[in-house]
Amino acid sequence: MRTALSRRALRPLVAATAAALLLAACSGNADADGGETTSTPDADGGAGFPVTLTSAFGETTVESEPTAVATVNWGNHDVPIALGVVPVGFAASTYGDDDSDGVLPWTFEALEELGATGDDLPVLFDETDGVAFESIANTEPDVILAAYSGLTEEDWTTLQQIAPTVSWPEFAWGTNWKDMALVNGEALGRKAQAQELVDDVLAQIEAALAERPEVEGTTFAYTWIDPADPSTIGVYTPLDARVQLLDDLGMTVAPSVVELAGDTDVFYVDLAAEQADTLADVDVLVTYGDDSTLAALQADPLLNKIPAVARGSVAVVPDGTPLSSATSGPTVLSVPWALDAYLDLFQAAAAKVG
Amino acid sequence: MTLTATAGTPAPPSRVGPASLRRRRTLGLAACVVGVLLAVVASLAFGARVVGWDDVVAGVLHPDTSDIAQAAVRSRVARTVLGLLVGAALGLGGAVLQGLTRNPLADPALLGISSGASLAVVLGIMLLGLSTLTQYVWFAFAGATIAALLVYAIGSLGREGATPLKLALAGAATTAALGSGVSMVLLSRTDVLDTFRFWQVGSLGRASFAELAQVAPFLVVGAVLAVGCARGMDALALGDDVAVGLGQHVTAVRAVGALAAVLLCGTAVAAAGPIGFVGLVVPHLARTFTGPSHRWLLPVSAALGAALLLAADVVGRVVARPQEVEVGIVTAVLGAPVFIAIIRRHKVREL
Repeated sequence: MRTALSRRALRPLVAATAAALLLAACSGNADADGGETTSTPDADGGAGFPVTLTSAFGETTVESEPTAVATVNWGNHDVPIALGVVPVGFAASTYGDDDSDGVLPWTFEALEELGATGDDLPVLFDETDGVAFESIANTEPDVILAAYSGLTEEDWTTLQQIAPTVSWPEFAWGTNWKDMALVNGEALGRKAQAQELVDDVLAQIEAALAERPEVEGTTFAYTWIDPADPSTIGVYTPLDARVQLLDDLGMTVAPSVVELAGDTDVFYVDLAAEQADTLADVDVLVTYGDDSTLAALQADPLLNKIPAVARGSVAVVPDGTPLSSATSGPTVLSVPWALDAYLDLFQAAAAKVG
Repeated sequence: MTLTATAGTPAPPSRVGPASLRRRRTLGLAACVVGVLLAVVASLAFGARVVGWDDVVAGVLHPDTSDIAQAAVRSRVARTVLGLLVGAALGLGGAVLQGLTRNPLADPALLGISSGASLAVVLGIMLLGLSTLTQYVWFAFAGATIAALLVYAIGSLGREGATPLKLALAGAATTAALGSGVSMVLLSRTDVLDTFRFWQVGSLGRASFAELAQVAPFLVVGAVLAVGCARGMDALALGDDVAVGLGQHVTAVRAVGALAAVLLCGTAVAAAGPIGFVGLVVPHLARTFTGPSHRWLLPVSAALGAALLLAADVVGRVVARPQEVEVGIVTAVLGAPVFIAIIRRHKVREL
């Protein structure tokens, strides 16, 4: 049962980490010297090494400053790129990729600034069928970053044989964008710079929130509802990264969701639609969909018993777009890129709370 | 209870006298009817939400849909009807397939019908962007038909025609090939993979009256065709030569029976996704008291299938509150041990 649940719940996640086969074929032979850096490590240079990081699976030691950086799963590549390090390879993105090139817009913009597009684009790993161990090994990395991921212990053990691998610290898919930056940054010997990046994004959030005071303090439930089967509501738990981002945006997880999640270690639980009134304390219901979603929810005899649905205070994240990709697995680069459009969704929904 | 008198002692069925058989059939049929009624009541009364009996009655008869308890009961009505239809279709379809192929292990999954339906739907989603049940039904039906014809054609190669063993082998091979086709599509198009998740585990959660109206005609036609083949299948059980001697048109019986099975099983897959074990187990359960006669076996299989699937769905709704377990998982968990028990007790009666 657990696997059926999480497989469905991974929808926006798994999709995002998969790649068009064509792309993998076209990415050609990327430069092996992609590890060129445009900034220097923390003031004490290489003296910060060896760095030892602890993940849920065990300890990983990075002996010296890595130059060839590979990343797997969703979004980890944004951290070295934001720190000025072009990875030798990273996972291609398919979920919410507007132009099907395997690279999401904010990542592409940052790579362009580093002159690492076109022929200099890093290798894109095709993760359609799981972690692409062979492709990763071929890039001969010094370190593999996966602070935000769903790696299994088996995956991690295999990757460790290729290079020291930084996995998720506490929960699969439960590393927020700040910790993703700090943990991955620490493995590169650039924790202080990562902290600066995080602080800068937090300042941007604060400025954007100042323009939208009604968002502050609203309670929310982040859900996924399959239009083909509205008998269950998928609810993302407080440990999920996308839920933690809303916390940074001044909102609060509804107490009903906290209670529903209990002490679970998974990022997603199901709630039967017959129990929809459990979510009575939710100011804004967040869900994936399109222009027809709100009307469909309001027409459903059980889902319309959620007060937020009845009054229309629903924030519909456009499914399969860069915006939904940027916010489902938020990173230090994707959050600023999405910030205004994302907050506008919540502002409109919060305005209807009354 | 004459049932307990015969159960456990593997008395050869041929020794059972006509009077005793009649009594067993009558009792069995009565038990089926009671079982269906109990399952219906349970399906209306029990779910992820605990509701009072007054709300159950009101929700069925004159629901106040502003009240969530009664709205929940109201939604269970459609789900109950879908469960009855799909369960009956699977039980009936399984009995027809076993009768036609004289293969005690025949079921939609073995003969490529389920995987044919799945592949057609996945291709439809990928190439044409299907999203509604009406579209799924036609594609599933077409896919099931093509797969069934393919399996029959392959199984008929060679001198003896479509023997049970060759059909089973052809079905297994075709299922594997079609399954690879599905994987190939899904791995190259992850957006389709998302839409397809529903097809991997059967569920009754999408029931609505509008969708019931769309699938009911197919199931009615399939059921009528199946019952029309009952005498023909009785004759087939004696072997093709004897059946021809009895004046049966063997090829016609097989064609109509196969069409019935494809209609029933294809529609069930389209409406509720793949649900295993019902089509396989139900006819064996039914045969324990109907004997081999298809005029009894078919209606009893339909009733048993409906009761079993509905009961399984109720179990899935209440074991993990506030979550629900898909009925396809429950039938697998409940159906597997029952099936093993049947095999151990009866050594699967030769058909």
